[in-house]
Amino acid sequence: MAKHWLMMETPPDAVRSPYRARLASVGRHLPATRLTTDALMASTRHHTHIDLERLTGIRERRVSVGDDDSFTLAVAAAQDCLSRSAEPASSLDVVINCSITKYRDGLTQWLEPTMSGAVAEAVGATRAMTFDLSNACAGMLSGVMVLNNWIRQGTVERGLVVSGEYISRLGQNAAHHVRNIMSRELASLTLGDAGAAILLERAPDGVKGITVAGFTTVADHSRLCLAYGAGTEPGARMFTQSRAIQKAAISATPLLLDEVLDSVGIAFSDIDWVITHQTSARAIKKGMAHIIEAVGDAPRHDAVISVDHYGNTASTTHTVALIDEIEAGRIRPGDTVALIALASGLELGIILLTVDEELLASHGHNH
Amino acid sequence: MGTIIDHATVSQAGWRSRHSALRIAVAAARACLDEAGCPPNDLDLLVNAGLYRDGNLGEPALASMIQEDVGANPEDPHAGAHGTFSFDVANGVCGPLTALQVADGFLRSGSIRRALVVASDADPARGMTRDFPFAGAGGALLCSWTEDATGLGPICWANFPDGGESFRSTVGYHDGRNRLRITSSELMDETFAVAAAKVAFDCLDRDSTDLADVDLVVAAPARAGYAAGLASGLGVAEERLVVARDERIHTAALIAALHDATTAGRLRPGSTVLLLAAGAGVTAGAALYRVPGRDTP
Repeated sequence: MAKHWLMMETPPDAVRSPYRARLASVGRHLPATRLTTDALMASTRHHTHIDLERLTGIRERRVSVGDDDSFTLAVAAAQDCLSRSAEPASSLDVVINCSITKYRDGLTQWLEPTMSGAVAEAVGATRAMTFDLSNACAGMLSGVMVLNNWIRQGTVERGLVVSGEYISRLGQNAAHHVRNIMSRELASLTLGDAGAAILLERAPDGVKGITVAGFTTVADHSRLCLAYGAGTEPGARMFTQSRAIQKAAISATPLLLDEVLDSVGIAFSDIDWVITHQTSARAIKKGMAHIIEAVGDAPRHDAVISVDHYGNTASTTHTVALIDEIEAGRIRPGDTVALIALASGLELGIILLTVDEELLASHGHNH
Repeated sequence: MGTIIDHATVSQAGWRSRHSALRIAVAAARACLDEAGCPPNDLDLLVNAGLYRDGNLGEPALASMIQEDVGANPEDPHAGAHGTFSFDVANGVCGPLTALQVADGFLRSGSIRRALVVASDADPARGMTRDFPFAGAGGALLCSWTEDATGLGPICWANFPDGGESFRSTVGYHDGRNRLRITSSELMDETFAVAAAKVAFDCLDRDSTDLADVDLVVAAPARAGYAAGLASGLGVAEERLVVARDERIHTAALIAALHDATTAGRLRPGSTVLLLAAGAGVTAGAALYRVPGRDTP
């Protein structure tokens, strides 16, 4: 085993991992209600003197007004994803739910049974094994990491990684507590709701699919972002040291990116699209500038930004942003996409994949 | 060729840790690494399957805090060394079996050499629940890979959806604060036993193994009603079935059963063990485990 920092799944070796996984389809569900940053900041209890839109670049986010919860968001996203696939839900071998929030029937968080089991039942994945995976905002990509590993070995052929985040309630709670720009609940005001789903399946010969997937946890920083059930308010509260997270992520990412690029012998400039976790437009631009300087090379396009209109939708951000790019017709067949996870833990992960024509066609694009 | 369990430990809540699943998990993890002589930095993967935790923490994964507290490569990434990846899975009492399956995949692909599976529960906080039904307890399993014919076989799963009727736990807002609510049906253990027996036979069928060739059934949860139902459903004598000594242990029940069977000298090298778990969902999982090492005559 070569010494690298990441726990990494590199290109197939004929004996241990003879197959590859490809993204067969992706789906999402966004609540219809838009909450502008102006409206949210007008609802704070205290005069905060914070220009949140200027600080974060977030104009608005989608929020459930009681019409959706984590479960319904996840189910709707899973159905959207499955409707773009040729195979029925009954062909799924596994369903992994990766959301932080597991609210059903309003703000009741379900611990047992799993949300994955409920989603599988709702979409008709009767054969699928199910479990939940929790890894903060890196949840879905961690789920992809696990499912990719199983598909590569042939343990399973098809699986769904799904998440539903009804997390905007944390923003409402924070609006009662934030006093000024130093508040540790500031990041809660950036949150938006969304459901997302990724269908992975064994790729036919010659299809590249997911080429590398690597993850690590820099646990010295495990306490930089904590969310827990609020005592006397519905839902939860989240306390974040955003600057410390940004600093740790910026310093660690270049080395990890180098490990991933080295493992497949490509340069940063061979990557077409970089989709990072969507926290704030400013943080993404600043972070990318640092990484580009450290690596001494840049991807073909600017980092994808969807946080300006969806806010931070927790574990679903990468999928939500990827669908934006696909639907706008910007991603071309054969493009290489790097999904970069950054989450409380501190979780850092990189998944490198090549988008094929079939995936784009499932969203109505014929190139 | 398969994943082997190098060591299993259990830990009980003390007075100071009675509300801290984190402290209980860290104690179990430390003891497991210590007793196995494995330095924390050798861990490549840490998967936590515990559920009832300090203040119902939603993020980060409790696993990342466990990783920091046991000191498994917590520092910033640097060249010429390897790090540790940590996250949580949730699958009720079946959680450790799920975590084993995750670890098995990465061991099999050669991405990792050593994995630690941890699970613990504790009453999340005073005032949150009136009667927390589970023991403040946890466990840890240290896993690695063997190229010989022993170790963990494929894991079989089955779901029998009941909408949480047999067992359900939620945290919801009632009377001005968030409260943990746990409900179960009178038929819970009977239902779980039926599900576990069904998936056990699926697993044996797939492996073309006869139940008569299984030396020991190691099962979770640990409640007597479930164990008795399972023994009769499988048609094995209760002596061939091991559950954890502490009936109230929850997500760590399978780990504790493995630990208790080991300390009682019942996991004999060369023997075939059937691992079985069933819990809320209803979800049940089963796998055959061939205990590594040679039996000494």
